[in-house]
Amino acid sequence: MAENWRLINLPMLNMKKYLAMLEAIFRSRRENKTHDSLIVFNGYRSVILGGSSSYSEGVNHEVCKRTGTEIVRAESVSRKIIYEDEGSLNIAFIAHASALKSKAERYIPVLSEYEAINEAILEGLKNYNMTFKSSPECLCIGNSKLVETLPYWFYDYLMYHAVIHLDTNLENYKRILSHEALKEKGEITSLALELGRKLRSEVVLKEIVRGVRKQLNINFENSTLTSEEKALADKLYRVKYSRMEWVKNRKAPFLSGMGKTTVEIFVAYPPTSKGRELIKTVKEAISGFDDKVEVKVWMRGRGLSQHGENAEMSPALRMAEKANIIPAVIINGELKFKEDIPDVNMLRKAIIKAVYL
Amino acid sequence: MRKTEDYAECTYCGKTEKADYICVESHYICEECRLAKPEEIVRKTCMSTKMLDPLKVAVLIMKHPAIPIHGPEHHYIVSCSILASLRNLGVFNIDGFTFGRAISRAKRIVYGSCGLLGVCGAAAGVGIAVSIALNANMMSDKERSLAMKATSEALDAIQRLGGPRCCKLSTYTAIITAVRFFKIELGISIPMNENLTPCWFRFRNSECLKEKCPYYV
Repeated sequence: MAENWRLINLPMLNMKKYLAMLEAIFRSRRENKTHDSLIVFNGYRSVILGGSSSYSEGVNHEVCKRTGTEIVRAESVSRKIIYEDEGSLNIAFIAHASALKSKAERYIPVLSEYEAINEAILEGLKNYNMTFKSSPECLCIGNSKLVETLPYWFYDYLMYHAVIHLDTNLENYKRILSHEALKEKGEITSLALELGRKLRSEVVLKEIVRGVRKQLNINFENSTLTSEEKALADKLYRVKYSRMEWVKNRKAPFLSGMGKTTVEIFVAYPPTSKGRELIKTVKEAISGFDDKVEVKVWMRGRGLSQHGENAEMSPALRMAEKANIIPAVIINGELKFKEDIPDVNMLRKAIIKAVYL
Repeated sequence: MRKTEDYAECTYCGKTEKADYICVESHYICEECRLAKPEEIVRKTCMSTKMLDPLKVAVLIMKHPAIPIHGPEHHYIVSCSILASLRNLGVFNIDGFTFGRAISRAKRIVYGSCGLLGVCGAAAGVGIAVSIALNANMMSDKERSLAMKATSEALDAIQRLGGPRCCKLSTYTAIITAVRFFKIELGISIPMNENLTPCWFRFRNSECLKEKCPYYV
């Protein structure tokens, strides 16, 4: 039986807001609050830094300024840098891997999911009678990239953001990326260039939606973001995507699945008297705004599974564990108190500051 | 784990104190040991243990929450477990400083040295134990050769197991090789009766070799 997916057509916004929305939808999916989704939105003149790609070395900042190109950073396991503009089309698949892996003849984790999505996009493009080459990273015509992708995983949940170059300004593309980034990337093309004519994005989009529906054997229901997703997207835009700290250094607060402030307490296993006192102090410090804060007690050496399936530990906590900083309190992914029990008022202040970030 | 107010002896350092939690098998870890860093727990355990079986010592240490599933800590766990056993057998003059020396030598072997240098730190840990027991240095004759031979035998046994690396499996293999080495080369019988199968750590290791590992089930 065909599964139901949400089809979300985002209104005209800027790229930072788009990315915040994608993450909000992704988080909502991984928390099992919604089902799989296909999100589509128009191109926006921007250069997207994937994962840990370099802000200072990957982009020609002078040209960005001159052409009004916004530099943004996306959550991605790939270090790709992608330029897009009004001539580009964005589609993002947010799904549990199970919806994609069943399509594979011989299942290879990760690659089979990418392949299933690429096949779905290709099905949508097949009426253009071009010969496409599919690889896990992109879809090409000859050796030139036509569709570039930014995948991101959380356990078995995948967010696969694809930028389709319908009529992207390729001259701008070449000028905006640094020489090294461009060399690494290779050739880029657009559908308009290959076909020798302009295409209407609505027409291509319609074809792609048809292709995805057919190839993945799914039904679409037109949808919008839920109120919870909207609130989360606003928060993610405010505390992450709009901040230069994220764009430049990939630093953002470590929030819970649906965006609550996180307080992680790192103690020994079993907790020592000091550890127990610390847990009590944290509970006292959050009283009154417990609904805005997610407290997690991590016991040393018990691994991720101590918090069940799909648990997430902040990088700061991993560092504390490696460096034997115990006990410790980490707020929104930042080590705030270590080794001693903090004064309850100081702790409360730090938590309030994080909540009202 | 259950709460208690009884007095209990710390399984690691041997200190007796009023306990708070003990495990279902009545094991207790004192507060100091619960907070200890990996090298502290290795030193304290090896200083206090009365065990003769180095594998038992190593497994006890590796069960401590401070010891990760993989990591360079295993390099000195191997040397210190062997040295603790030798001390308990009364065959070499091994005191508290010995463990510090073994740890400081083993810490020079970097994380991932198996793949990067072709020398597994657990294998080098056997060489360190032999070198310390025999008082070897670069100017020694037979002692130096024996230390290197011990490392090479352990290394050979570990390389036969294939990869990816499992620091638990390398630790078991290095110690088993060391026990054989001490018997053949130095005529010292080290008792070894720890049952390693199934491996206690198999569910915690996401890169477990499973059926490829002789101790999986």
